[in-house]
Amino acid sequence: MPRAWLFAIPALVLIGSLAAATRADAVLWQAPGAITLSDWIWGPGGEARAPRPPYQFVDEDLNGTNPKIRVRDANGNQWIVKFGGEIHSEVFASRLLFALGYVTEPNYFVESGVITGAHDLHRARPFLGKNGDFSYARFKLRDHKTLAHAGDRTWSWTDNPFVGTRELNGLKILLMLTSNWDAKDARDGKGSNTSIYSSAGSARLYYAFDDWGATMGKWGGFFKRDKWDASGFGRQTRNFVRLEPGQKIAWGYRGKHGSDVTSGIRPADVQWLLQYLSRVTDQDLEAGLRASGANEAQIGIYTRSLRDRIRQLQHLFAPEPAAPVTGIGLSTSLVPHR
Amino acid sequence: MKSLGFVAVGLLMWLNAAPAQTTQAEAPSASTASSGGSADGVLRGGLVTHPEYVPQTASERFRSYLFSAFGPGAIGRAVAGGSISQWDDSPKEWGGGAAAWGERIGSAYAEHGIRKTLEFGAASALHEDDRYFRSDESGFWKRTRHAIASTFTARDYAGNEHLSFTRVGSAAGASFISRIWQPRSETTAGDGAVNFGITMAAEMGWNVFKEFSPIHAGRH
Repeated sequence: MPRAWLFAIPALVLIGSLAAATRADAVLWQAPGAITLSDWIWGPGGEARAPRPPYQFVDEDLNGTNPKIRVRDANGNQWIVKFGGEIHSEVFASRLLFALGYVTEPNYFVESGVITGAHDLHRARPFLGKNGDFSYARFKLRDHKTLAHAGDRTWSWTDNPFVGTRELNGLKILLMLTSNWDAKDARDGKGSNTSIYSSAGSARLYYAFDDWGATMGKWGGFFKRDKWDASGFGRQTRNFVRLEPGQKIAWGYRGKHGSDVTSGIRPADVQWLLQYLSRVTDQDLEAGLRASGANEAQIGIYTRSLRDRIRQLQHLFAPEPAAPVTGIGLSTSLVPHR
Repeated sequence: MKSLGFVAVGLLMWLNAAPAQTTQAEAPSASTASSGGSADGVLRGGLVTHPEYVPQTASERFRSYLFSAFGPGAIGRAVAGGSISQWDDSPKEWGGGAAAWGERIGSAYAEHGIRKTLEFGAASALHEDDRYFRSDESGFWKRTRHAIASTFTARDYAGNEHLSFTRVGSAAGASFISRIWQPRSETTAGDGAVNFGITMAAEMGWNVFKEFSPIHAGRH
């Protein structure tokens, strides 16, 4: 028996150390920096890193469900240019995630431009004119120097270093806040929308949910859900969240792995996220939406609906909504991709 | 009833003979050419020549097909069509009563399902988007004309509008296929042609309803 303990104790210490090291080097959320209106306009990349024409065609990316091509801009940066129905949602989500401290990549809405040298296009062909001119695209920065995919590694809602933490539960709330029904994870194989990134010169691994295309519409099953549908988003807002007897939080959200997304969220997690969410002003939301290519009608509906959803979260714990805070940026730092 | 079919076919010919109309895809937007950034964070590097068009993904097309072919709208249309046929006593061989009414509704529902299935298959193969898009113009007649014209048009995956072979072809195909289960008095080629006209007329009416109905506001 004593001899067995001789092996067991060091083994347990080793396992514990490895687990602690893994947790310490894994990052899901970092306190957001001083977020200003400019951050809502330009997102995590800022104005300085915005794509700069001319855009030179590199190749077509045939992954995923939407047409995409890779281009290189005048600064030598490589971008994934996406067309189709997810472009506005993704640009807006990147600004929201950035403002709240979650890992996201620079995204920009480009209303019009020209891509030179495009050839042998398949799915993207209808979106480029004869001279390479295009309208309505999302440019996402591929910056492997700052943030690169850690191989094909992904994570699931039930198996990651953050299970049960306020940070993971805060991310789940953001999924529901934006009606992101496409919550596929590592259990869905190559279709996973979760990623793990590594940062150059750092041992840290950044955990991200990085597909926000299926947002800002209606959550729900196969026949109900949609994307970037301001009217539908507004209609579902009244069912966003409520408190049931026994202090149980009931979410209206339905989506892929919906029970994993809605479960395990404690009142303390909501209150933690509200520290940051309550400081987001209508002006911030409007700026982010406008930069995402939303028209004025959509901006109005989305801003009112998001404000209503935030108020519902606040009402879970207080009979009266918290006084709106205006014109105050968030004072925290770190965002690995900037 | 047959005269309604001839009117629809005549309208189809008139619309196709009419000069090209201004469509959503052709209407120039107010955006102007510029380059680089802007105060609102939207980057512009050229002239936007058409409003935004968002194509469907494959799964969205399939979902749309299932909904339009077999969903509540399809059932409602079949009930309405079957009821009109019952009132018109057409076909006569099916007689009256609840059983005949059910038969007529079933016939209309089957024909609609066949039409939508043909349309879905052909549209997928030809890369056509056969959703209904509301007019961005104002004025009753302009919007009505858009709704009627949309019965015969579809968009390609870039959003350009053109005459839709799948819409017209699937309506014609379903009209003739449905002759299989019709009684003898309704099985001639002429009956198929009339049925085709009625189908297109009904589609026009449905499009006009979608154009002005508040239920369909913001939908395709």
